[in-house]
Amino acid sequence: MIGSKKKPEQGKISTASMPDIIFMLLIFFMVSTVFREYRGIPVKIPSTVNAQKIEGKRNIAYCYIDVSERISVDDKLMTPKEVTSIMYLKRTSNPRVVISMKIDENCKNDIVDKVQRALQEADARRIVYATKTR
Amino acid sequence: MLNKPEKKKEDINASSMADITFLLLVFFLVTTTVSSDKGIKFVLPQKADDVTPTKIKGVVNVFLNDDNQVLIGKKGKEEEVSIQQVKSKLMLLDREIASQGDSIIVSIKVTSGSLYKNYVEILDQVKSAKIDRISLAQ
Repeated sequence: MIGSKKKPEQGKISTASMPDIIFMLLIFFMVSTVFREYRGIPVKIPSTVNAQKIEGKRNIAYCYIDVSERISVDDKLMTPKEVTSIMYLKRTSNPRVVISMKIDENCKNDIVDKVQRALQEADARRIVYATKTR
Repeated sequence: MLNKPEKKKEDINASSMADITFLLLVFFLVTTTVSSDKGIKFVLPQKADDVTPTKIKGVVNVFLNDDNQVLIGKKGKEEEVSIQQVKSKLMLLDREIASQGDSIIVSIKVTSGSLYKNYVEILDQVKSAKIDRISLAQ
């Protein structure tokens, strides 16, 4: 026969745009990532029906209280008086700060009240009782 | 004369860029934590040194004691209920108060020895009853 048989063209998916797609994903994750600064102490937070989502991750300050009545803010154990001073600083540097209270469900309300008074003293009055959705 | 050899164009090899970005992407994927901050929002009252007692209508007291028993009702007419009944009781009282032309205010009073989870449970029930006016007595 004259001429050679044409080889059937192989269908290949072009991967040229793959780096662009990966780049886009990368940028998305870079922008949305907020690094966790503090670990806190282990607490078992209560569960409720009406747990609302808190917006603005960057405005949240955490305050942990565990069963043995240890108070932890920014990974430092402190007394209610120290809570006042640190929360006052947070409040002045960011007026939109929301304090997320991660309190163990078996805590007594006594210590909760003490910390709340400390927060009132610091004028950091917007708080959230951290809970799980039931 | 001999022909000058053509200068070769030098390109930076970009084929490994995809791999590098992939690596970065995986790093951010792993470190990102999906926000799961949920809770019951509450605004503490302003610090007041001298609290003057005021007469407001429509106040419903909710007491929680050291034995985690709950008393609920208007002043002087409180009765004991279980925590799960707080919502239905509040809705009843809300309707009753609304029919008198007032709006309900829930005043929560907890003793220092009561458990935090019961306090949160009461708050949750109040929110379930769609009542926003909450006062926290200390």
